[in-house]
Amino acid sequence: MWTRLRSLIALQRLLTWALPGLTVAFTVTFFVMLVGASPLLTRASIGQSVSRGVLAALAILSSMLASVWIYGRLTSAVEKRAAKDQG
Amino acid sequence: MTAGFTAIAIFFAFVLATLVITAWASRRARTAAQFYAAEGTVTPWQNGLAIAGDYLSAGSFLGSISVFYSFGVDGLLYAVGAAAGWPVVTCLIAERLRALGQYTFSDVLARRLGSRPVRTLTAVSTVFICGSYLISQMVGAGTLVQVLFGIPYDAAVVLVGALMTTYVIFGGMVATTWIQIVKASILLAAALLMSVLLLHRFDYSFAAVADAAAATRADPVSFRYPQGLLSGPIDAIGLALAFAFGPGGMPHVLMRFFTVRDSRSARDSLVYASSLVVIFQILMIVLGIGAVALVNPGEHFRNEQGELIGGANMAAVYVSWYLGGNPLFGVVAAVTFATILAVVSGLTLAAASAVSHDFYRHVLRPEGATERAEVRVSRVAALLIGCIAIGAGIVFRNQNIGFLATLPLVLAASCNFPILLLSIYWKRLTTAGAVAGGLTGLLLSTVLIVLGPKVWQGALGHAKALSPYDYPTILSLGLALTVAWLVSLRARQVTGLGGAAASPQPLAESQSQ
Repeated sequence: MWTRLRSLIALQRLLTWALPGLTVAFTVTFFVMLVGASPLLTRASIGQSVSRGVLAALAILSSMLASVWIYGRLTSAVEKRAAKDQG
Repeated sequence: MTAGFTAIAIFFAFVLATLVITAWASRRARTAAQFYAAEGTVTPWQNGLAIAGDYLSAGSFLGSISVFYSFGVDGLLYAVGAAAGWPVVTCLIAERLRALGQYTFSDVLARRLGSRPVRTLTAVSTVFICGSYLISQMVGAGTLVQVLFGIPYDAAVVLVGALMTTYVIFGGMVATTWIQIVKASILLAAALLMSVLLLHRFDYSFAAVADAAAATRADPVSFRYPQGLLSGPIDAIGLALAFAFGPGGMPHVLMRFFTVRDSRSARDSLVYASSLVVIFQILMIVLGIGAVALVNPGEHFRNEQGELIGGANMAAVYVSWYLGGNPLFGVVAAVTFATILAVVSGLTLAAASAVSHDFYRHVLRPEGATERAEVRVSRVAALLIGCIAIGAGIVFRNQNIGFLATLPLVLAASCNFPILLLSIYWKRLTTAGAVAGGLTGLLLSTVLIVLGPKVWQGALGHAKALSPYDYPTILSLGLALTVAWLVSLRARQVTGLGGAAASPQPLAESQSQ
């Protein structure tokens, strides 16, 4: 039977690999784009273009942080649900 | 120009405070469990601060800002990269490591694989990784003390080496944890204060800070283009992979998961640690570009030739003087010094633990080593590692700290990370595969880094580099995984089950049962 606990465990297993995978993919892409003088950094005024590069960096940093928090919350939810189902 | 009385007084107050913590901690570091892992008594929030403290080293603070100062927007690579490893460590490694280990990550590998060969490999890799990390810290500390007191660089490095060895020999994990907690809190607060002061000066417009930074260059437009930190896509991918996978193989970071009560506490620690690291890196972006805007056109802290004293490595400390005068300069110099001492202590402890716990107790004396003898060996090892770090700090004196701080990440991502990941998730890994793969990654990454442009040409002074890459992670990590895979399959064909010492069950499954 497909219980709530099983759904949570399946999601957790998916994210266990998907979150680090996406992080690595984002980081490698950002590095290659920056080294290859991405268009992100060559438009508008100097200050604005640098700010856009910084915004891209902030977006990646935020997604990394969000992934760690999501994984932490989800794993805690799995543990609580398992304890509830058992007890 | 050296610092004023206020700066020096604040500096000594910090050093004294860390020594008091060490003296207090030394009374709580008598058994092996207390010395290596603080007996698992550290709370998740404290451990999160300590992990962040371990990571917010001279490389993160002095290094990130010096890369912005020297290479402009290339500094964004370090800001993003420094946070890339945390999702990998949190999701794939931390909990399983805590559930299965005792003091070091080698305990986890030894549960499934042949203990003696695997522990020998990890002891060697740990000494290599921690040793290379120590170089950047020693260079940072030496330059800082040289600038602060006007004493020769070599003497400054010896002074720092002696202090950090004292912390480890007497304090163990309790001392390094508490020094990290205090230091991480003050460093974050100082970086936040500096960022607010900087933005206030530019009416809270980041674009204005970037414009002011660009205006200090002969060709302002060039500020938005890459400045040559990385030579091409192979180095870019190599550095990204080192940032993403390196923290998962750093012994002094992995060791911190054993200082908390259980797996859940280890996971919570990482959530706190990664939050603090991301906040810190955002502040580094602001301060890095701000350092170009303020320090580059400034006339202070320059020698007779007009060059910055201590080079770009000191830009982080100098920007504090432009923002808050001598008091803020003193605080930032002292916090930076405490940062280096704390990180160096953690690194030395991890390397000493690898020698005493993994090599001495489990390889040399598997039957007869007492806990007391093991702690004694650890303290002697800390003394020797301290001496080696002093020598390396003197050799690499002119290198960019940001670059030096990424070298251990390349080594860790090429050796410890692949064998740890495979042992947790791949049931067909054998002892022979793990040792062959780990050794391949460690040796290849070390040789290619030494032969690369920054070390072979930059540090050792040769005319031409023998390898075109500074960050060969894509080659060394790829080959380490391939060799581990091929040798494991081959060993299974020969023995029928992959060697008597190896359990066919991956650790991820054994934990869940």
